[in-house]
Amino acid sequence: MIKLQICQTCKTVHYPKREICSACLSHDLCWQDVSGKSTLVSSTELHISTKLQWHDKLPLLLGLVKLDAGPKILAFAQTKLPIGSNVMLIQNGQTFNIINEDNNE
Amino acid sequence: MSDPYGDIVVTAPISVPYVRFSHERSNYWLGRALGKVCKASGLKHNEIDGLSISSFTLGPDSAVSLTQHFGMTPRWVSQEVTGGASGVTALRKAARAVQMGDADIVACLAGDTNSQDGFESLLDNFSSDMSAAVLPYGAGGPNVSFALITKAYMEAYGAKREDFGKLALSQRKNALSYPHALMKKPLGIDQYMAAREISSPLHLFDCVMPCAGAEGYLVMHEIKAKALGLPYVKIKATIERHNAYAHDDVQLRTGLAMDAKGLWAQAGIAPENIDVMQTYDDYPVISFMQFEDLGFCAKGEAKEFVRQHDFTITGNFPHNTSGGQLSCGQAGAAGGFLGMVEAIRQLTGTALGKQVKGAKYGLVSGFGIINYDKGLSCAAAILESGQ
Repeated sequence: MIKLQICQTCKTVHYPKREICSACLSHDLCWQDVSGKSTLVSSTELHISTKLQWHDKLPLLLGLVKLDAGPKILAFAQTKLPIGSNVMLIQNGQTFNIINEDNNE
Repeated sequence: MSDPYGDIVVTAPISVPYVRFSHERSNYWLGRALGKVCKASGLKHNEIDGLSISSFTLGPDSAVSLTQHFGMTPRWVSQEVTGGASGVTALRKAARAVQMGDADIVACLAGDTNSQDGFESLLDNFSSDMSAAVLPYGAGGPNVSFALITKAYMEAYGAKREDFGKLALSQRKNALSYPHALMKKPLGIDQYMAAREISSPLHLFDCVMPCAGAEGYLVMHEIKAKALGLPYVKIKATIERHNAYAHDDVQLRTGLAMDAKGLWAQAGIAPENIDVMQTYDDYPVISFMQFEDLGFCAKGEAKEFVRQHDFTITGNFPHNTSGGQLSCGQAGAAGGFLGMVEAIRQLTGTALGKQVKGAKYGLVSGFGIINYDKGLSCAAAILESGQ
């Protein structure tokens, strides 16, 4: 499970962080557990960074996933997977990692 | 067909030549742009009673503080926040202000500086979503967001790197006759394909080079432009849209698709009447989407459209005729004005580079503010030569 904001009025799940629900304009958003089940919708291998601390970690595999719960989240990936793959997202502080669902289950 | 903007015209297109890095503030670049529109028009700066500013690096100053810096006393100011769409959105507001009498002459200016660490600091402060949800993943900035969009677009519609390369090469060819382009060497397809990878599938020549510079133009009544002896263009139609198609998984279409039909209806012409087109080109894929979403071809068919047309100034679809940002450089928000300024020049027969012969209708489209996974703003204008 990952923690995301859920609107207590209409149950819309939000990411990135919001102050107001974009679906119903409620300000009652709470951080709650959400399933990391997702679909990979795009990916990239990043070769340059504006920050020195990343330079020895490049290239980085990144994936954009769409959570079954709704939002899209950019995440670190471990392997290159085709677009449309079912994946699992896990949380690591401020960032997310993609796990191949087949390996996870 | 309506005439939504009546006798409002656009004139005095100017550019402050770009440099790769600048230690000046953006106030310098915007002030030089103001000086240039005054010189181009013969107006004194205190005769200009409307000021529209588009800049990413102006903070903590604003359009209002600039009036004091520049010794102006305008009765109308506006600050554009649409980045790559600001060349069109500034025009829309300025035209209405003059049409309704809130100002007589509006100077629309866009400019940014770029210090050695300027681009990094621009990215760090671009938006809360970019800071929270993109930069923690290796600080790749908009290259990452556009790599994801480009990859999904290629998979969905079968566009190839060579197709994007054709646009980049055509623009470079156009840039070779434009004196202010920072890229001055021809670009070949082998060189394009062999360039180093930035964020797959994007390679070096798919990405713009950040730089410093400014662009600008004036909006006024036709009778004023005639009195000043200025060549001008008329505004046939405009559209603008923000946060369109919010639920699309990946951005494969822009908000232009929502409003294009109305744009053509307002102008009373069709895509085949356009003599010169300027798209916002921070990455080639977004030019592809503008071709599709504005109705030059169907969704997903830009690759065939690109294969079938010649985008050079003497070709059958003159496009980004000053070289676009890919060959001129991206001077921050001035990148959103580059196409507008070039369109005004081409339609008034005052191109600084090669002239598109007899250009009557021009289309300028803008796209801006990649906030997280999508570009949020888009806008387009159809202009007609006043000659």
